[in-house]
Amino acid sequence: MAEVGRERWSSRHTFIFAAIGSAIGLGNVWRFPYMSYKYGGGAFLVAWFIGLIIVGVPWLIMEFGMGRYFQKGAPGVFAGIGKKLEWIGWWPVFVAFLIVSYYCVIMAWSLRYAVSSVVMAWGVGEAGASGAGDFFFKTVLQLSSGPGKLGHPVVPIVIGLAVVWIVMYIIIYKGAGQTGKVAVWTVIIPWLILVVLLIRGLTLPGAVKGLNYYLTPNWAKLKQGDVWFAALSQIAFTLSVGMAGMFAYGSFVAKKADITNSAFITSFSNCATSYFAGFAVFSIIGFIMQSLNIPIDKVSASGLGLAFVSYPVGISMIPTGAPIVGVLFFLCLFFLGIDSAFFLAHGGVIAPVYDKFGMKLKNSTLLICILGFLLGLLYTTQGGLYWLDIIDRAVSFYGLLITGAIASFVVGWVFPAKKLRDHINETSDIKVGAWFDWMLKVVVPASALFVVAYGGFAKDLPLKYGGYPKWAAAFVWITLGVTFILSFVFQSFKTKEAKS
Amino acid sequence: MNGGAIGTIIVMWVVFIGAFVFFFSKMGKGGKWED
Repeated sequence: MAEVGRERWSSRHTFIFAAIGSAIGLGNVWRFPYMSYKYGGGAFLVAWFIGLIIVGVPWLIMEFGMGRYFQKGAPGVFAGIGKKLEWIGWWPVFVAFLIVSYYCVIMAWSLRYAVSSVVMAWGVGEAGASGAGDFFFKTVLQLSSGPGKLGHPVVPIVIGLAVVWIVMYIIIYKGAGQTGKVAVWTVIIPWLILVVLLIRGLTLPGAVKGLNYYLTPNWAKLKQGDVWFAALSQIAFTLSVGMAGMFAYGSFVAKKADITNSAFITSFSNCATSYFAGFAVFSIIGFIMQSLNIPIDKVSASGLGLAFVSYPVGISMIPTGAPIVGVLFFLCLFFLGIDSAFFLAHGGVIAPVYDKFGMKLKNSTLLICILGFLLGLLYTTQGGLYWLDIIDRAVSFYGLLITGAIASFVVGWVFPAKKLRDHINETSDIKVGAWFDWMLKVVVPASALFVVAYGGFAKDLPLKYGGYPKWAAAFVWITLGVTFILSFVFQSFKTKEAKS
Repeated sequence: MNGGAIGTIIVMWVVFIGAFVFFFSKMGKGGKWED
C-alpha cells in the first residue's frame, strides 16, 4: 500500500512539531482566552478538557491513522474506503483552500503591523489608544461601507500577501522533510515571544485584574449549554482537524511509526499554548482597563478586534519598550499563522492534488500558491474584511464541522473504527481501547453537528449572518453549496492510476 | 489575585506537566524523539 517516493518526515519530532505548528494558530491567542473569560474561567477549562479527550484526540488520531493506513491525502483515503466516497475527502480540501486564501491575508496584516510598530504608527499614549481603531479600519484596511463596495486592492497588503505566499512556496516545495524542519522553528519562536510578552504583561499595572477575569471559575456556568457549545467548538477549531491536512500529515508518517502518542502530544501542546497565551492577552487587557479606567466589556477581547485594535491600544499605553512589544506581538502572530498556513496549503490542498493528478510536488506547490494569492486579492480590497468574515463563516465554521462529522461517521461505521484501531495499536506507544470506536461513531459526529446546530443554524437561519445584506449573507450557503458540488466534480476526474 | 484564579493556575500546571511526563515516558515502541 505504501507509495514509492512519498514524502516523509525526517524524524518523529519534526512530524510532531509540524502537527503542533498546524494546530497552534491565531485562534490560540485571539479566541481561546476570550472563551475562557466569557464562559466561566476555570469552569470552562473543565469542559474544554473533556471536549479534548472525547472529541479532539479521537478526531486527530483518526485523521493521522487513516492517512498513514492509505498513504494518501484525504480524497485518497476516502476513495480507498469506497470509490463513491472520494468526495468526502475533497470537500475539506476546498474548505482548506478557502481558509488559507484569507488566512494569508491576516498574516499580511500582521507583517504590516510589525513594520508599523517600529514607529508606533497609530500613536503613543492616549492618542494612540484613541487612534488604534481608526488606524486599523481607515489606514490599514481603508475599509469601505459594505460588502457591495469592494473598492481597490490596498497596495501594502497586496505586497505583504505576495511576501507570505513566496515564503510559503519556499517552505513547501521540497516536501515534508523541509516543512518539518521549518516547523520546529515556527513553533519554538512564538513560544519564546509569548514568554517575553507574558513577562512584560505581568509587570504592567492592572495585569492581575485581567488574569482574574481569565481564570476565576464560575461553576454555575457548567450547567449552561452555551459553555459546552463553546468548549466543543474551541476544541474542533483549534486542532486543525476537519481541514483535510492531518490526513496528509499522517500519510507522511513511516509505516512503523507511532500515531496515538504523537496525537496526544500534539493536542496537549496546542492546548498548553492556548492556556499560556491567555496570560499574555489578559495581562494586557487588565492593563488597558486600569490605564483607561474602563470595564472589561468596553475592551475588545477576541478576534481581529483584540489583535489589531485592543492589543495596539495596550501597546501604545506601555511606558517603556512599546515598539519592541509591538514588533514582537505581530511577529508572534505571523509565526503562529505561517505553520498553520503551510499545513493548510501543503497537507490540505497540494498533497491531495498531486495524489489525484500525479503532478510533481514542485509544480503543484507553485500552482496552489499562485491560485491562493489570486483568490486572496479579494480580501485585500477595501471591502475585503466583510468577505473574509462571510467566507470564514461558510468554511471555517460550517464546512469544517460538517465535513468532519461526515468523515468521522464514515470511518467509524464503514471502514470501520475497529480496523483503524487495530492498525494504529500495532505500532503506537499508547494503545487505544474500544472507547475510541464509539467516539468516532457517535461522539465526534454528534458533537460537531451539535455545534453546527446550536451555534450556526439556530442563529444564522432566522437572521442574516453578521447583519449583512441578504444577498451577501447568502454567500455563506452559496460557498458551502459550491464546495460541496466541486467535491463531486473532482471525484469524477480520472486519477493518475486510472489514466495509466 | 483571587483564590479561584490561583487554584486554576495550580491545577492546570499539574495537569499539563503530568500529561507530558506520561506521554514522554511512553515514547519508545513507535519511535524515539530523534528517529
